[in-house]
Amino acid sequence: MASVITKDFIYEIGVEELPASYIQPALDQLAREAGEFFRESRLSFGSIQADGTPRRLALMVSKLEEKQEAWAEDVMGPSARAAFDAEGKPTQVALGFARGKGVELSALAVRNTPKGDYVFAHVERAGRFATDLLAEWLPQATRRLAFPKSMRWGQGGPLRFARPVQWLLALYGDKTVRFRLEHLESGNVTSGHRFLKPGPVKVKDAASYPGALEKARVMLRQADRRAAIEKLLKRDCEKAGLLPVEDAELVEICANLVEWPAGLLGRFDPAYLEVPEEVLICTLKEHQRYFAARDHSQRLAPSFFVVTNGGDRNLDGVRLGNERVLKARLEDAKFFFMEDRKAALADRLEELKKVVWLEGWGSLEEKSRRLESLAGWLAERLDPMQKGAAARAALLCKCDLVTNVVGEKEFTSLQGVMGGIYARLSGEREEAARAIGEHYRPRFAGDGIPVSRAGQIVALADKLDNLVGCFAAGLIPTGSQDPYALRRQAAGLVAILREQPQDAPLSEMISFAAGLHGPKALSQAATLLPAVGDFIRLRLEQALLDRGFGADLVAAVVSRRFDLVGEAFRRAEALTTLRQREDFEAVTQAFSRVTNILAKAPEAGAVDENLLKEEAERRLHRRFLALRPGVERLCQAGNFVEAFGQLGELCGPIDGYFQEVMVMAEDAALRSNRLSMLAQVASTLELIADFTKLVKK
Amino acid sequence: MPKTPTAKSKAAPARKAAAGAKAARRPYPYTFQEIILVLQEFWSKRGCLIVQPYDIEKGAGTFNPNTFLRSLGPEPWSVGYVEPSRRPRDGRFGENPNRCQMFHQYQVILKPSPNDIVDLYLESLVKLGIQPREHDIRFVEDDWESPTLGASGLGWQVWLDGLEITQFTYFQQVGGVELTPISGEITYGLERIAMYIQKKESFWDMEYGAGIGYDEVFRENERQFSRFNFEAADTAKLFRHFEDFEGEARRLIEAGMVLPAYDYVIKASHAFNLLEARGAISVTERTGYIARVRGLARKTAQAYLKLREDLGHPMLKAKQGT
Repeated sequence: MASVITKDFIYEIGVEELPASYIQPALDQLAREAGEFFRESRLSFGSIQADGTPRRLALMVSKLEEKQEAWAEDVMGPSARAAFDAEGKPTQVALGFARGKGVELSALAVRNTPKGDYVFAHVERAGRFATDLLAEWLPQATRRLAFPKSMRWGQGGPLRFARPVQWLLALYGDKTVRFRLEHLESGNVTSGHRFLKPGPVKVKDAASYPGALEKARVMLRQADRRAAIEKLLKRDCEKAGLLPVEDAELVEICANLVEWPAGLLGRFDPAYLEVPEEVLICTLKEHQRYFAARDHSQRLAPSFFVVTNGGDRNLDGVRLGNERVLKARLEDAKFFFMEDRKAALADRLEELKKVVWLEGWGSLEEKSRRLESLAGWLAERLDPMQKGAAARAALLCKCDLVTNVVGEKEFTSLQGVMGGIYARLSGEREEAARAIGEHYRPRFAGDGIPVSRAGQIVALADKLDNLVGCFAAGLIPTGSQDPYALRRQAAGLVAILREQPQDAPLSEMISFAAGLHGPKALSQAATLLPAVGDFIRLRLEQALLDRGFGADLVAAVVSRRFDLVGEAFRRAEALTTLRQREDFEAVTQAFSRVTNILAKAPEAGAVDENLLKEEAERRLHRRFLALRPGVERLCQAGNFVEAFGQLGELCGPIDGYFQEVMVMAEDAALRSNRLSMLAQVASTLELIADFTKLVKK
Repeated sequence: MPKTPTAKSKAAPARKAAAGAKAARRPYPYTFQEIILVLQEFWSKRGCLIVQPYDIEKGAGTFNPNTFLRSLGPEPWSVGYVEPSRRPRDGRFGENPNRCQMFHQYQVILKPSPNDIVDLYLESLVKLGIQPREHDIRFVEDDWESPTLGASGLGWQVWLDGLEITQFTYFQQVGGVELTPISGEITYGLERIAMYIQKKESFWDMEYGAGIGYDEVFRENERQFSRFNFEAADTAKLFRHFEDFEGEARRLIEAGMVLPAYDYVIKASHAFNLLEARGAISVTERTGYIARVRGLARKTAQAYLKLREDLGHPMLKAKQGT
């Protein structure tokens, strides 16, 4: 066999500055579709990489095969009945099919298919060149790239893209893959850095592409730019005796705003340090994308680091410009903060009356009153010592929404945090201030729950109220639509409940929270309460799966009851342990005989001992009654493993029972009594889990 | 005749004055009015029509018929103009260093947007003495939307050493109409650019021109209009005006007079802005009022498309810029 010729391939889409967050998803799509295309085209390749900057998306394929191997395929044609006449002679249909496929009649064959007998043509195909295949695929793939928002430009042609496409470079080895995409023609020319090396740059061949970009002051790889930013940040801070405030998210954003990262350290007036550091860091990051820094005693330093797009001239001028902009921003922030301090946090409750919480569902002030009651009620169940602080914090936790710093003008991301700060400044108790500061947590997947007990209680109250209120108002998440982030809130609820030393029933919480919404919610209680409960159950299942429990085990734990969230986690742990036990199969098997028969007749009532005629059933009942209180106590104490062990003692009596007792007796009273007794036995095991959901290993 | 500059406005340029040529007397290349002259000349040389501000109060240069109406339909249109823009809610009684209820935009519309529009823009900065190589210029994503005009587009805020100096937008939709061809809109924030060029930290320290401070020209204006916008505007009258303007716009569209009709759309929009500044419109009502103005903008856009069609799209035959 002749050795396969391979060459590297590069495709670069040159664009006007893309939004930072659009880059990676587009690269992922490009790489994925390229892989699919090469496999479908039967072109071998070494590796596929996609990387990019705000001005270019690049696909890099190593060792791409030059040409497909020749191949043959059998193409299905007309039915045999249409293709051949009664004497077996080919008809016009057959001739036409052969001609269409470019084969001789001798290349046709009849085959039996599930649809009947059909004619197939054996077609030999010559392998095509990668460059030809690419010339067809690249424009399609480019059009297909999906962005959160795309646009048209110029004449407004049919091509849509995230920002206007400026050039297309496509090189296979040293050969340009030629194609057109609307007014654009592919070539072997890229563009250098917009300011450092403006203008076209010719690329000799695919292998020299990375070098050509480097020379043109473009750092193509995102990872390189991130590393460069981290290094510069660290270096400049160290020189000034500072430590950067780490922020991986900001590094990533900045890396996708520039093609050649540089940066410089600027300063601001230390007088602004009287503004809380949360506000300062937020001003730096959200308004200007600057990094903050600390001194060695961990105090915020009056310095900032700005990532620039590679410029190395007039650095003092650039620094001064950035410092002036920041000064105006900090002046605003300070003004807002000082204005906010003029009023005590509690005085803002009055203002909350004017802010609608949910259209038609009252004001934020009404919500605050509900939260106060709900937090007090929750505290009585979860941690009575916290009642005072939790209720006070709950009442005030929304007041920062009408402050200047959090309100529409400035930083919504500081909601809660500012409330905590203002609460302290207003002389509220530390526990309450802290709870206000933490009550939105967890704010995102992977974020921690509130640390303080009062904070946990307020967070629970807020999330419950949001869930119940939104569901009652019909704002129920569907598919990817979840504008009120109810899934995240339900997940947060589960995460907090999991950590409570004392469990309280979820159903009672939901029902109490609904009650606080008044008749408008209560009138739909019959559907509302289970809907909210079910919604939370899904998050609970997800939380269990995320902890590594198998899907069947999660179903076994949650299917019958999930009212006590902390307990559900403990049952999942216990079940995992139990599954390792030697007697596990024997016990569950014995009980499955019970549940199987109940499935056919799921009626259950009180047991009449006088109707227990057979010795075997009396024995089982006796043993069961003797064991039950202990098992229930063990379950309540969370010792599910021991409870299971005790129930295991019923194996013998159960086996004996099924050998000697005819459950489905003719006599209805007898039958119903037997089923009732079995139901009691089964329900005791279900205190641990629904074992029928487990899939045998 | 210009009045005598106040002590404050005179301070910055005058104290640093050195003997010699006029330009050398100040440490910056351009006054506020010279920046406008530079942009007028630059875009004029690049084939733009240079028109005057439209003589009705409005929130932004986008409301000018040279943008709103001319971006509709197939005909090319390239234009540049200054637009004094009023945002009643942004008034700060002349106390804030860079927030005003009236400020100036320099608006450029290039329809269709040329392939080198970004380069053209950067060239205009060079003419203003801003060498890209000596600054940090960034194109930061910005999805622009005007709910009152039923208009939206994608583009950037342009940052100069961290300062937003321009809004750069490829219009996608205007008056609810999907556009073809696409207009490129460049909106320079003149005060911010002047502040940067003159190295000032406040509008009130800038030189407007001829040795006279921006302070002298506009500060009392800010004080009085802030009082008017926030405290004195008669809301009952404004509500009545809004109704009247809306009615008039409808009537004129029906009567086939789309251009006067559009004047009343702009007027209705400004009446709404004033009512909002007066706190006379609640959050819930707000959406309703915006939708009413947008409804008018849509009708106007439709009528204007029809008008140009009836006129036979004369600009498709004309050749601009040669």
